[in-house]
Amino acid sequence: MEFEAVIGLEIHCELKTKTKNFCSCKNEFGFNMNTNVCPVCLGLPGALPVPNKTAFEYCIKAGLSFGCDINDIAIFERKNYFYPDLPKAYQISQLEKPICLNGCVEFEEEGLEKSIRLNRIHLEEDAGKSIHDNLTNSSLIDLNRSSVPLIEIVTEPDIRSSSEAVKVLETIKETLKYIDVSDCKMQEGSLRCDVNVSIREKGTDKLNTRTEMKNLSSFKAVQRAIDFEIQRQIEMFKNGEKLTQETLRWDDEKGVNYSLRSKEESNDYKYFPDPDLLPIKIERDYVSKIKNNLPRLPKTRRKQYIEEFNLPEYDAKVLTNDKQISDFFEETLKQFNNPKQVSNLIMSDILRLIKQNELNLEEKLPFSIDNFVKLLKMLDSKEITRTSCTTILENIFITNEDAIKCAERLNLKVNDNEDEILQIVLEVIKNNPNAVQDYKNGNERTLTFFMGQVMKASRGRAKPDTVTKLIKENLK
Amino acid sequence: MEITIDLVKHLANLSRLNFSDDELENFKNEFVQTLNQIDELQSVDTDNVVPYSNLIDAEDLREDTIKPSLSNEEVLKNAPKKSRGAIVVPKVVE
Repeated sequence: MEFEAVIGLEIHCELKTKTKNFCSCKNEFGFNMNTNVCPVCLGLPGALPVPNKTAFEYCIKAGLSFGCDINDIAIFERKNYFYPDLPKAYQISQLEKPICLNGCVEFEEEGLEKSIRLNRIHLEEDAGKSIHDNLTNSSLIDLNRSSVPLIEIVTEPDIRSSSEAVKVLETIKETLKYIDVSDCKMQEGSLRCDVNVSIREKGTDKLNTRTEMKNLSSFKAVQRAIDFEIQRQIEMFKNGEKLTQETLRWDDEKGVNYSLRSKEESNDYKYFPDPDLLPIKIERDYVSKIKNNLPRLPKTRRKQYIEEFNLPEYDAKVLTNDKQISDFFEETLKQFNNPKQVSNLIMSDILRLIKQNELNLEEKLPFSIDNFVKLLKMLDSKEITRTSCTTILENIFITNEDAIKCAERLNLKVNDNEDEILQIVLEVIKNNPNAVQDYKNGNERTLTFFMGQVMKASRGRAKPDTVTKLIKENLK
Repeated sequence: MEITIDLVKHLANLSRLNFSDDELENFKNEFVQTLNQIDELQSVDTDNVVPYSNLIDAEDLREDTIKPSLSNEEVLKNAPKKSRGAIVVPKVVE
């Protein structure tokens, strides 16, 4: 029998608002424990939550980016459960009326356009953090994360393989970073993913018992955990064992899943509308306003780069990997309309320099677009050679020193003085009688050798056209 | 909905509360009464009543501006046990 996997994802992303979802405490990672906490996120009796406008807007932004329907009315509900890092004993979440419904994640895999349906995107709050201490057999509770805004993106069980699941995650991460609502750092926990997996006979549409996996802290872990779980379920089926619906925890080091919760204690959250929070009306004008301000998404940009700018697919992909790079590219084009040349310099030099200097692309690049344009223009008018262009870039990328001044300072402007170049050409010819003979015997490739020698002697400054012309004239 | 002792026990368990058999029986009877009253409410014709009369506009929510939090000392004031700025509780692992 041939099996297929039925996979659904629940993705939690912390929103990068300045304050928490229901109070005005600072929302930031990495502070001393319990220093960004107030009566609301501490869950003190009588403290009232007040929803964050920006968090709400970010959730709508995310929804619009995935083509979701935005509800007219959204309601916050209480999801009740006991856990020490949840001081109110309920999480403010959404159930019946989330902000966003439906929508889809579109991506390409092995040349195929694929689309995974979304069930919803809703807004909720994060819990605090528990740090377990085995030595003292106690747990430390830090509530800095308590009430930080989260969106939960829930897919339909449309995913059929671990690699598709990773693609969905990558697309979601890329999109949320583009629209600037989340950092999506898995290692800091601002992007977290739960996976539901079941198997069935290929070709049927039955939904069998599924298991849920938590604690997946990297895309690689997601892939491995799904592959492991599919195999485990197939083995169980073959051995005639019955699968129980349960939550599993992935151990990335050992590469196995183990059971997380005892079965008899199945979840029963008793959701109900939070009486502390009014239902929220979402006007269509407001949604349109947000929609009109959305940045163009990577998919749209790639299409434009390929179809309008005639760039290879590879360039289009690399250039749109990061929004700042893509914006940098597009802004440069406004002043210097040669997409291929701009793309070449970004891909070969600028991305390398960003990496070498370990620059963080969340921050603005030190190198300005105006300066880049100056450099491109010098290259285009052949005032500098391609090699000098790289040298200049390396010199000015961090300091943003004026490209023209740098070219002069380093004496890299092309030398087009025929007399001076002629002196070098004659010198090179004199020093290489064998090569001259080769050339005269009809070996055209010797020309490249002479070019190289002359360029070297001129420290890369001689104007290539002039050099070629003079070599040819003097080798006759 | 039928109220059984098992249901009352389940709800008590969800609320982390412990009751004697007498108390459970008492709750059961009270729940039945409460639900009967709600059934009465449900007999009212609400076909032409709008479900939400009191709404807040998404554009009128709280501005995303940071305000001072409590000091760490104040946060920990009610904690029976504390360490390294954190509240200490018996070890819990899911």
